[in-house]
Amino acid sequence: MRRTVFTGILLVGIALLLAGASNQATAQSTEVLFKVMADELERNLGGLEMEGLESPYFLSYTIDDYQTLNVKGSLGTLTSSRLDRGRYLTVDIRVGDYSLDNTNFVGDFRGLGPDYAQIALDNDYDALRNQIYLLTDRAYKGVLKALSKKKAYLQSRVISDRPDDFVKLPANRFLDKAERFDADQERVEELVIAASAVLKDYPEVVSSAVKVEAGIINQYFINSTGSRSLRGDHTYAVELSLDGKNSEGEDVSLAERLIVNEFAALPSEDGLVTWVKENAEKMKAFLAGDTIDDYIGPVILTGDAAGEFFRQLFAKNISGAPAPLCGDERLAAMFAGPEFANKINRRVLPAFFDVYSDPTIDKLDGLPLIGHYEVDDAGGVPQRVQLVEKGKLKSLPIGIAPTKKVKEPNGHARGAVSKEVTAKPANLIFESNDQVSYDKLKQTLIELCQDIDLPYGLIIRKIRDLNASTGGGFRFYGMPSGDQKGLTVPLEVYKIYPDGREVPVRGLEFTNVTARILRDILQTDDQRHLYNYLIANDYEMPVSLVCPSILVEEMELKKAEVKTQKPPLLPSPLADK
Amino acid sequence: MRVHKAIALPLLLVMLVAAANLYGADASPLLSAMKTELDRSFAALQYAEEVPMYYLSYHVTDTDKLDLAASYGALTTDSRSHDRILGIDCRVGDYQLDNTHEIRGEYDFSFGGGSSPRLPLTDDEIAIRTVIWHATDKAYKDAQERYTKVLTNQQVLVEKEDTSADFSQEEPNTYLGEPITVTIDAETWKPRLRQLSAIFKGYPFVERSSLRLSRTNDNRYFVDSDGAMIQTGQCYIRLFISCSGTCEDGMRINRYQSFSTAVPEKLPDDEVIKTHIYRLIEELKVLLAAPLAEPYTGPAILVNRAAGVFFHEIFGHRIEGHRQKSEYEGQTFARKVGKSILPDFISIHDDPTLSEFNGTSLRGHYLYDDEGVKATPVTVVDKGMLKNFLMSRSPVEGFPHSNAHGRKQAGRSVVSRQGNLMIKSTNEFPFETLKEMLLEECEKQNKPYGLMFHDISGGFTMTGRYGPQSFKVLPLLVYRYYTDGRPPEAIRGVDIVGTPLTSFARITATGDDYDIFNGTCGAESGWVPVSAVSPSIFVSEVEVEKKAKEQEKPPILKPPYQPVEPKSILIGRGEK
Repeated sequence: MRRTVFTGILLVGIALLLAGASNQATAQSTEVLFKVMADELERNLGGLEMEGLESPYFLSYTIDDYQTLNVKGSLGTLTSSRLDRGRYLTVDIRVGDYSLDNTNFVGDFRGLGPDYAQIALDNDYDALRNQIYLLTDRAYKGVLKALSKKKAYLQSRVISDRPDDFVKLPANRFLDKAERFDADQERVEELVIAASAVLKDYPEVVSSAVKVEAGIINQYFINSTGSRSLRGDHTYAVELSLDGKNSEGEDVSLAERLIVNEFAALPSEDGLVTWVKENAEKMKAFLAGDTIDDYIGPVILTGDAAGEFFRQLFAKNISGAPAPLCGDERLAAMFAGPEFANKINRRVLPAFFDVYSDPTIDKLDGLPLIGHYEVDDAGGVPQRVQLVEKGKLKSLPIGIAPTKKVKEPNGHARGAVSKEVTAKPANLIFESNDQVSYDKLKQTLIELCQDIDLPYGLIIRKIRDLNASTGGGFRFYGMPSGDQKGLTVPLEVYKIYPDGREVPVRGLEFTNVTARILRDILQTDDQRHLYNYLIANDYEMPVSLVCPSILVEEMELKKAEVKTQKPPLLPSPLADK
Repeated sequence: MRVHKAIALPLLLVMLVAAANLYGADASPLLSAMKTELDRSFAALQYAEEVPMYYLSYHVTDTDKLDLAASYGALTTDSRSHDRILGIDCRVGDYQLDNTHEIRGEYDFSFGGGSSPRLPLTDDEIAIRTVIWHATDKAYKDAQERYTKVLTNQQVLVEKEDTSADFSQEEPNTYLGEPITVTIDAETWKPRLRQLSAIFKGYPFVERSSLRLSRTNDNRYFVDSDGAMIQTGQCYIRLFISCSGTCEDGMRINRYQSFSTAVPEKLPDDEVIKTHIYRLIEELKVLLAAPLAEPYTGPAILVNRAAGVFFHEIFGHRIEGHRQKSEYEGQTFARKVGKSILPDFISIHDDPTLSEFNGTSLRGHYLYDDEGVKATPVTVVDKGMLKNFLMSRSPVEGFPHSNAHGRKQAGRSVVSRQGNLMIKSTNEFPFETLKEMLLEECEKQNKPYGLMFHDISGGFTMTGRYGPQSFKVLPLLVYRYYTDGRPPEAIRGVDIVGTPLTSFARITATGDDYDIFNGTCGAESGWVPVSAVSPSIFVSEVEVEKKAKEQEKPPILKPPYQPVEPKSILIGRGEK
């Protein structure tokens, strides 16, 4: 039930003592930011008008005031250490009306994404107001153009049961206190140095990094229908990545990421050191382990692997904005909307599964859930939503835009700093009614293998985090991210023989995986594993996914096609220390 | 005996100088680690694969940066960063033909970039060497692979016009400079920036404005397999004031002023900054109301700094060595060496060894380039005649050696770039005389007015073979000078266009008012700091065309705050 490695490790608080002065500063921020947003909101709603064109019917401002610490190290040294602070203003201004406005339309490649600007760090009323004023002006001119293009598009086409563009959320006030940044840079640097130094004893690890990220975002929100909210979120992440090469030049990558929402929940220095050591040893085992050409047969996904499996094949397919109208067919493919949007009342999982998303709970069985919030990113009141009942899809997370089949909002509007707000899950809980013990699950796996004359079955413990595999490379601004099809590569795969012996296998990838495979889950164990992830990188949109280990009837894996370079020509400098 | 003594003394002096150079500072732990790993790698890898490695160098840029900005009285940026970026030049084959050879018919999408590993910020030898080791292994294997491609490409295509070598042989240098660790007091600058940036609040036509202060300590470390060992550093401090507004017809107008220095004490004081802020505001106001320019051909003056930008863009980029070689380049000057390309009263040097001009820091100053070659003054044009190109270690026909102009941004590959471009004239006149000449020329050509370019933001110059060999520069502040005695009139929306060789031929005189343009230049090898020093130039004919403009109207609502009472004593720049 608890995360494997961190169980029982003494936790350390690196938090600084609260300083009275900075409490005052956050209180001052709250006052000035709300005043400036309210004043400019009122002035713009009444005043914006261009000859013959419509005035806005809705206006909202979001200010994300963030502070982040990003410390990265390797082999007992720091490679970067940055403390950043910034404030972003995002404006949502709409012309038309709730049923038809400027949104949910992509005319061309220009002007994708919301209007945003970096604004003053000081609580200076005039300076902030001037920036809000200029951004609102720019945004208003943009949405007028968008609406006229959208109307022109609709005139020449017949579009049946187009849902409304926007829901009118009831006025909601939720004013928490602004959170204060509490990570001590020097202490975090010490942790990173100590944890990464462990790898000096492992010359087979050709490159490695330990990263600690700590961030707070205070989100100030105000809209023209009377909502006003302030929410402060903390996120802390520890990441370990290892790349090893064996004597044949084969590569093995391992990656671990631990995400929590309070500083005290981070592991202690000793805990981190042990964690890195365990992973380095694991790396050695994989480098010395087996390879196989291909495998078609039953597979157990357990722990983080089960979490990442459900994240990529289920959570991703219920998330996001409904497919917008697209002025260009090539764009339509890029903005397809959530894959399950049209599967309401259809079977998406085996009949023994129930799934719900619930932002209102902050703990489950005593475990802190990071997908908890008390107001969503559009000022909406979070609600529990039953997504799957007896295997059938019943609803979707809804934020501000209704879909064809689900129209009522349920408090799942979520967005990253300066990005669009769309519907995303929060705490995503998978419940199974066909549970056996983990040992029994393994037994079933072996029996299935024997039925089809397989000498061994596979157990997968880790699948590469979706963020890690799509984080690099080109991505056009405003384009939907995470367009990865199927599943990312499995990082930790083990053969399991009938006698219970497990042997690590390296260098595999999945083939032919689609969301359909969710229905091939045969059985689950009786554990609830907590898997925390971030929908976007950079501390944003945390999700807690809770699920059991699963046995899938048939999965296909094959040796990954990678260009293997020869092994290093020289030994690592670490080897002749 | 006496004779011997006389000889011995200078010898001793020479030795002392050399020793001072060598041991002026200690090799930093970073440089030592680089050296150790380079020696180990080169010895072991040289013949490890089929194609021998004949050259290996490591280049590390250690950048420590502080950025502050304020707008309308409030701080908008407050950030610090520190990183160390490794660059590896691994060459297999030989000097004549190696893995870096241009592959014709293939476009390089890496833009000279590729992956550039970050090194530990602490001086831990083993950790630094491990990162370098891993990157060297990859660079070496990539070099082998690319060399095979180069050979295939050589076999299937016709011989290139320029058959010079891929890499030049140079004497290795040793120079251990003190690391640069300049600080500026952020805490005293923050309130100053806030206060000064608040001045713009008095002027509702100013839409966006800011003051930005940056301080970069740029320390560079270089070792190679020829034995070079160099550590040098530069500090770049820059204060940048900018403001902009929108005309009724949607055209955006930008005004800015920058101050560059290597020493914090030379930053301008509040009074000087204020004077410039008020001047920029006045110029913005004048330009927002100014008439649109018409396409025009006629005489003009480019005022000193504008002339510096003009020379940098139109001339400087065309004398960069690699452009004379690449099969994709127009090679404007490749066959012009020894021939006249400019009026005979103009000579041009590029001299990176100069750190100052008239007491002001030159951003294009450096002691060694990014390939470890010692900087020296290079005469590019002597009395109008083309003498030399700016050379990196990539030779071109007739120029087999580098003259220390191989430069790059951290993480990029070197190409030849400008440093301090110094324009010198022997046909100098006081600025007032130049103005008279302008009006006389207008009358001669029967033009109602001539143009005066005060400020040029930059420009584009097409040097590629597949486009026209033309240029466009983007003036920011232009005045019409009328022959009928009307006062000078600011105009907006002008671009200068032309072809370089004909434009140079029309320079007929210069001022005696040398001034500096300090900037940052972007090209194939990334952003590098540069300077150009030029007098004002009088041109018998320039061609200007209408600038493409933005279509968005000015803001609908008035600014939200009550404007402070504006200061009234503003001096335009038209009457200089």
